Amino acid sequence: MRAASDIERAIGAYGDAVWRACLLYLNPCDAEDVVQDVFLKYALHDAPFRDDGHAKAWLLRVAINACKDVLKAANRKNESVDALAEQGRLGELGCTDDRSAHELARILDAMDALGDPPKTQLYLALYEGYTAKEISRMCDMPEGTVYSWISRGKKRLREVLS
Amino acid sequence: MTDDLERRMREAFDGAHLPAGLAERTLARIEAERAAQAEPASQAERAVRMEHMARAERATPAMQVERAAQAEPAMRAGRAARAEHPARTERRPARPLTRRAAIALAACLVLAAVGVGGYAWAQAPCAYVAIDVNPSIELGINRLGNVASVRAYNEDGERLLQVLDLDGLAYADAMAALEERLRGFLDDGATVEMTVVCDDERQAAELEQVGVGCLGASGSGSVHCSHASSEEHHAAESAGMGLGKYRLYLELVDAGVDISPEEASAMTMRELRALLEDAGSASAGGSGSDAGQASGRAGGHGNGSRDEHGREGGHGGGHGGD
Repeated sequence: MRAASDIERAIGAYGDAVWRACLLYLNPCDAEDVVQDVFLKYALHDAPFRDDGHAKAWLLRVAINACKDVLKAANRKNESVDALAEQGRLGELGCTDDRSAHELARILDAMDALGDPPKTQLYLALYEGYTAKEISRMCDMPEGTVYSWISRGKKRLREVLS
Repeated sequence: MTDDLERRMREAFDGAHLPAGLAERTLARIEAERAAQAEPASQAERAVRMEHMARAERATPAMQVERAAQAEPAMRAGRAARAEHPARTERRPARPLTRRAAIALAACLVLAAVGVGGYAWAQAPCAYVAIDVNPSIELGINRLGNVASVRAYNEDGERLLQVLDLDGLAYADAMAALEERLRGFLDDGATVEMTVVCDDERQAAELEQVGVGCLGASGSGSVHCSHASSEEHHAAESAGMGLGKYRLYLELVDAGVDISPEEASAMTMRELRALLEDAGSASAGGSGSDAGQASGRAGGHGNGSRDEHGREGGHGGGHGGD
């Protein structure tokens, strides 16, 4: 099991990235559970990582798969962020202020409307800046397919957001 | 324009951070797990574990020291716990396997693995035949020429599979059984879209020949067969659609039609083709799609997707408008 200092450093460096990825699929409550699971898996993963980039990609991949498992098990779609807003729970998103929370809610709803794929691929490409090749490895799909999903996803997202 | 999209996403997500306290809670949970793992610690075990730790890892000296240091407080905790509750801790036997026993065990395991592996290899699907009329289903054919897996991609497909058990049937038998069931759909003059995914050319040709022969037997519908790569197959699977439908869906998107995978998955092949005609796309095959454009609800033929083996069954242009 990895040392406490190692894990603490990882949470500090990648906690936000993992949290954001989880928000893409789950409501804040479930997302918190997944974040804990992901870092526990990290703690138990003794094999060394090539570098920081490798560790981050690994964490994101584990997080995304865990989120999808939760969705499959509960057999439900991501709870609409609008519902959260109505209940006055936007604060759980972990945003710095209300305006950011609303903007994030808007983007999350738009991404949900795209379906998955291309939601995952689009997020990894546009926000995390991964290449199609890296995404194809993380999502286990052919590179060409990733390109298609990204270009179609961009087009759709633009339409949904305008 | 992509920059604009990226900017918006960046602004939105940058504002989100790990909620207060989550980091601490996570660390606490991990440390609890660490303590739980260190529980069983008898004198002999401790020695064996230290030995294993020293032998098994290729870690740097620094990490070794750290691991040893890690083990210490855990062992002390274990000892303290045992002092309080002597009956609680469980004892794991520390007796290592003798070499001969280990080798014998390994040999047995290898034999078993080979046996299981061989069976699984023959059993596993090596080719897929996807059928989309409206029911979208996919048969996996294994090396023995039997149906190894069946999968439905939409509700009609699921209903079909519920009444029809194709598992284990020889390919030809399965196709014959299907043709019977599909007759209802075929009578309407719909086109059966059949897609073969198989890396072996000879087998692929055989699958196609038998399939088209069986499905087109009653002579009412027409069968349209094409081949696909396992890549496309994988992509279609991820999109949750049968291959035939997935190809149509791609064509639609290329033509600029705004449609999501879910929507496409729920529509029939005919509806999708009608949409495609509406979009006025110059389909690659361009096989004589005459008339039938009046109401945009023409029976969707003549929309040859790019493939090598289109075999229309003698239906002229689309049905006129309604």
